[in-house]
Amino acid sequence: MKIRQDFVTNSSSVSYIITFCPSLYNSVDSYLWRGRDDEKNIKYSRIEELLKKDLFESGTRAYLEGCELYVKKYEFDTSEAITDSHFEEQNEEIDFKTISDEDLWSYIRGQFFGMGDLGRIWGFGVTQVDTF
Amino acid sequence: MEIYTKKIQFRTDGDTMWEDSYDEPIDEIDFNSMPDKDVWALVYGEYIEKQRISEINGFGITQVKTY
Repeated sequence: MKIRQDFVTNSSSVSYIITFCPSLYNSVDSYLWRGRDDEKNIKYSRIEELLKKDLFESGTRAYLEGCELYVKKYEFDTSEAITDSHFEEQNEEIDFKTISDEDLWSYIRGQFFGMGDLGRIWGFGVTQVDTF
Repeated sequence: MEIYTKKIQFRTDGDTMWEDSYDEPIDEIDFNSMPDKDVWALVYGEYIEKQRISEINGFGITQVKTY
């Protein structure tokens, strides 16, 4: 499935600082984290793996008050982001088994950065730092 | 990018307060006369534990430990 992003009429540039705390993420071995219904929730698994890979590869490792964190600034145009409300309006569902990484990034930018769903996954945090 | 960070530690079984836990509706509470200690309880519970601090532009939160 290729996600259409042409629904956005008024786009703007936004920036978010994403933080990730591996020690907390790895310490919670129960699947009953906020946001997921079952252990093998493919949506959260794919989003977590994509984000962790990107943060480990190109994020900055920082130690803040004794905590090891990976930090990265993501800047994008809101026309490159998509949220759940778009799919609800179109009466469509995302197939997280087949969605491409590129389209998944659009969804992460919109729903997990912009709408703040990232905070539902233990160890991740999001702070908006710019809007233009 | 200038960012201020701080690690905040609290207990969820006594240090926190949620908006719907007051005896009266949140809109009727006089925050002007509320002691800082009670405001912090609301910050810990409603805004950090329940993550509503992200609703305020420029603020963010990352949980780093649980015991």
